[in-house]
Amino acid sequence: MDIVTDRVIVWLGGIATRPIANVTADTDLLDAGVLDSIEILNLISYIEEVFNIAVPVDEFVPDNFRTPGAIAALVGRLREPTA
Amino acid sequence: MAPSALLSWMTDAAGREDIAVRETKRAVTYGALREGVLATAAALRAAGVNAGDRVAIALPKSIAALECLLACLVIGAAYVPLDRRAPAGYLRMLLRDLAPRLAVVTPEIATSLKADAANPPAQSGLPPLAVPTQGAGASLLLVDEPRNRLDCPESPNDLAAILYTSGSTGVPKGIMLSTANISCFTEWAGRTFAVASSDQVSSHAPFHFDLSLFDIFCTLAAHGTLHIPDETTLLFPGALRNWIADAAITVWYSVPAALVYLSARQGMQGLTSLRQILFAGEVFPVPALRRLMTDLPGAQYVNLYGPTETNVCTWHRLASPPESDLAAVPIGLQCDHYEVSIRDETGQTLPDGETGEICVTGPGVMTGYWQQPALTASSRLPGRDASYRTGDFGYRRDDGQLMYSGRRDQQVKSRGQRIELVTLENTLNAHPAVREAVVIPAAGVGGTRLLVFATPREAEIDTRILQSFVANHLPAAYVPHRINWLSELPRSFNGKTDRAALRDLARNLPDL
Repeated sequence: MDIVTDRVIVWLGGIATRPIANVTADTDLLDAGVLDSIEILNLISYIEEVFNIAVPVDEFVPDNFRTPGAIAALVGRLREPTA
Repeated sequence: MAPSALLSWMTDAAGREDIAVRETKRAVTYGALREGVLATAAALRAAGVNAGDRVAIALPKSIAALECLLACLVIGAAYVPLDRRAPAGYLRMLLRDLAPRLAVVTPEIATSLKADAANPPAQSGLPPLAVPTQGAGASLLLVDEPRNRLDCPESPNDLAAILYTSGSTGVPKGIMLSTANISCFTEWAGRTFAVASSDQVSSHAPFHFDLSLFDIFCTLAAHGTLHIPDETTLLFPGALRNWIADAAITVWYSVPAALVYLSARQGMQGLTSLRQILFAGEVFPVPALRRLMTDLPGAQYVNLYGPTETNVCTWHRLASPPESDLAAVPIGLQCDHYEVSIRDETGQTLPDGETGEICVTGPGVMTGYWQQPALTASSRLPGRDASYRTGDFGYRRDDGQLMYSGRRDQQVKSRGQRIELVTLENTLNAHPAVREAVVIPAAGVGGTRLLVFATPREAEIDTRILQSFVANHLPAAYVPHRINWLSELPRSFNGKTDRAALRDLARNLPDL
């Protein structure tokens, strides 16, 4: 499992009010009841911060954030040009 | 019975082929919407719903939910939309308060409402529940036998809807809106913003939020098309932007937060189908508004003001972006159907320029709070039924424009001087490093402390920089004591800043 997926899973397990366990790279985070809207926004802020990326509006779509694996793919794509 | 003024669109809707409502995977023509509404009305009648009843609706925002609320109006019953994401205990409390003839809910909510079987008192207040059947032609599947029905008092004549707002004391208030209340607003708004059959109108606000009254009833009255986004789309600026572009939305109405969120990512650029952008519900941070109006210069921008009790009572169209980040945006002039006055504590009208309570009189004012006559009476101007004391403060400028100064409870004393939190928030929002700032007063050892919760535009900046920025623009009493940076501000169900959650956060801060 790559580092981004790992960090996302650790973050989900660390939500203070309601830790989310048993997450894999393929867990659908947008399924009703998994993450609420504020948690999704917080997760995105966290990802932008720790991986030092800014998600452009065109990439800011549900499919890029649906699973930890999809988030990892997005982060990889956004970091590539400078890598 | 005369057809409701809110259902005028139905009179010639039979057989019409133009699209009335579009959701993600489905669209209905005006003809099909009419049939769906009539079928749902028949199902509601079969479930025992009559004129003068109330029907609670806790469904995802959808064509089916819309048909259900319109069907209530066909019958002469009031619709009461509830937040389907609210916890079961909260829904149960609202249902007990409301005593509806029927509650139309999702299967999940039906299960959770009934889950407390070990707790008979929790069960005893439940109305009969119904869940919509899947597929086209919304008919209803009854879960309960109608004989379970409770004692439900009859609603006042002409009641169209009850919208619950969380009272400041935590006890929800059911705001009763008559057909006349709603239709005088929608007639004004439809005329003022020239809503037409060619318009593609966004349905951004949930149905339990008063902004939805514009979306639903102005669009249908004009034979326009109402567009209902799915809930995931609303969370992702890229998806929301694509949705606005694909639907070619022409009229948009939302809380400022939704627009701030989109424009912060340059998400509004090029969305040239938008001709009217209306916002209400809280103060639009001025720098974000300037950026938005610069990014998308072709649209008209309108600041609407009014609590749910009056719906919109003043409005201001911005001719151009505010000149500076420190400019205050007026709430504007009173709507045609209202008289708006500024009054002191004794109810006397104040001269222009003096700050007092914003009071509203006219046919749009709610008929009252559901089953709270004392609360209703205390919200009125003495001796005037169709009036409302908003609890908001403001003043009238020399040019006649009304200005908003904040809530009664947003005026605090700091360092011995009275200050208005909204003034401090406007100034903080004007700093280039701040995306959005909210001030929470907290009792500290040496008196009231001004705590700022802010989201950074990019990087956080030092507290002292922001303090000296405030000191350069406002009296010393306004200088905040502490800045707390957050990645996002908490939002309540309707997209407004959740100040109660921030107060909780403030209580847990050390060393006040």
